[in-house]
Amino acid sequence: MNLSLPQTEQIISTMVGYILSQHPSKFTAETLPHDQSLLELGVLDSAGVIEFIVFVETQWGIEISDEDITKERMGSLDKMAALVREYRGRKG
Amino acid sequence: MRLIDLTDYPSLRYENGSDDEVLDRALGTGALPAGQYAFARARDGSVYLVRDPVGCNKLFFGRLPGGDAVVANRIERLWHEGLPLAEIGSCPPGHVLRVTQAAIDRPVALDVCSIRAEPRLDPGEFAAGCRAVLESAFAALAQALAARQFVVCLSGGLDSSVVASFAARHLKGVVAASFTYLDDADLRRRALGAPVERLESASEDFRCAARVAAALELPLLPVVRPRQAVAAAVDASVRLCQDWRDFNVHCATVNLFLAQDIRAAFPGRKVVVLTGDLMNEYLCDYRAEEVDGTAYYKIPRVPLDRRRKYFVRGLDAGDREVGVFWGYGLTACQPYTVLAERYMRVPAPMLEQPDIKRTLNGPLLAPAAAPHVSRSKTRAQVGGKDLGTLGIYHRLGVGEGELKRVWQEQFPGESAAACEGLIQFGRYRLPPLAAGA
Repeated sequence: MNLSLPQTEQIISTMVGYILSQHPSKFTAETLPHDQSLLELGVLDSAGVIEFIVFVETQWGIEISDEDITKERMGSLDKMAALVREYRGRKG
Repeated sequence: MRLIDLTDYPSLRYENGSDDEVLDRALGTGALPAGQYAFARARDGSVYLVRDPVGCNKLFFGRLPGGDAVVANRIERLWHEGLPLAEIGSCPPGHVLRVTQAAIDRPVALDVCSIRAEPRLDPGEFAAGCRAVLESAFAALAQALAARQFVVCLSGGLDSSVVASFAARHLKGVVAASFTYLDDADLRRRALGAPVERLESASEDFRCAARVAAALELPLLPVVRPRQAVAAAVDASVRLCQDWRDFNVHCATVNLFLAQDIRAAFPGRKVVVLTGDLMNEYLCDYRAEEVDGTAYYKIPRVPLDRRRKYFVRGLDAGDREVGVFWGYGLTACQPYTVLAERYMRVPAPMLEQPDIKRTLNGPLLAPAAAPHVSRSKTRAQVGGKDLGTLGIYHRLGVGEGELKRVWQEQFPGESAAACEGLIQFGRYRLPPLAAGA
């Protein structure tokens, strides 16, 4: 687990790697949109979203609180990356 | 700020105390009693929203253009008051939300899922503790609701059979109700008086339920439908259960049929319908299903303690029990609400044991009922030939797309995104909270 504040690009790259390996779809690393909902794109279903959240929490050693589990905060890879940085930033 | 209170779900608590007393105690101690309740109170220029720890009763909230707060158990009631869906939020389970003109905060925020597991939990002591809590809860029901007609829904599985065991001992005049599909020939035989449990097309679950009812000396109300009845039940199932996700809608359909016949059997009576709901969430006792190669009810591949959180927190969204029975003027009662905290203490390694439910809950069964309980039962809606209600929905071609369409249809002018936005990541959407709340 990397304890320094990760860069957005690194976070997204790790997330994309996970998505492509665990939830195969028509998208590739080059075509997977970073600014759209993975649920609405059909990349993740409701169970897949939970798996993804658990992956993110485990990977970056954070626990996302309930009120942040919303479309506004987690509705795309870009938003997820920002959330991870925010949580990691709070951990100092 | 004025409060427009459109709540109309019945409350069930297992200890004395008015809504005001519950609110006072919550604000003073941070504790909320077990039960099924969701209410609002206006005090000192604020509005307080209060919801039970598991989230059995739903509580939706919004603000009218003039600033008045409006609350209801039903989303459509707020919408018909003029609130767009995008402006409707839900009070989370175990919360007290305080709404002022300026902001919303949460002076009480309980989360049953945050209770720590007990690594050395002793199953025998655990069952004894659960028994004592259920004894007390049923004694409270018997006292508080003595004049009501009690009906216990029996699916043939362990969860509802335990509830029936306690109901038979503590409550007077209890009737059991169980559901099965029948084919056309058996429906004719049934009409001529044949016992349902002897009919070939009755489900094995129904037969188990009939045997459990007989063992407990409870009269049985057989609820039967042809498979064709499902098509006509889709709209009501979606609307009453305030959800479009298939696992909840399918369950709601079974409850809809039960509610219809229970209502017809006891016209004009105040009826309490006991169900064995919640235990599957507490013990992660759900599995994925497959019909003709199509996967349903996918289970997240995450550690069991996380999966349990997902299931239990997910009880927030969907109204397959209280909402569906309410639609027919019946009070649903989920006695397992009183055990939520205890089951959160069951450690994850124990949840992985193959027959853990029977280990923990088998001792709660009445001895006479125990030999008749189905060992394979999980979801009520997959019982019977061809995966029961799930199989029928599949063969009708009614998937989540169609269920979403039905949900959206009741809110003309609202976009699909607005309709679907009410449930996010398996939970009803929170209202916007003050920063740091």
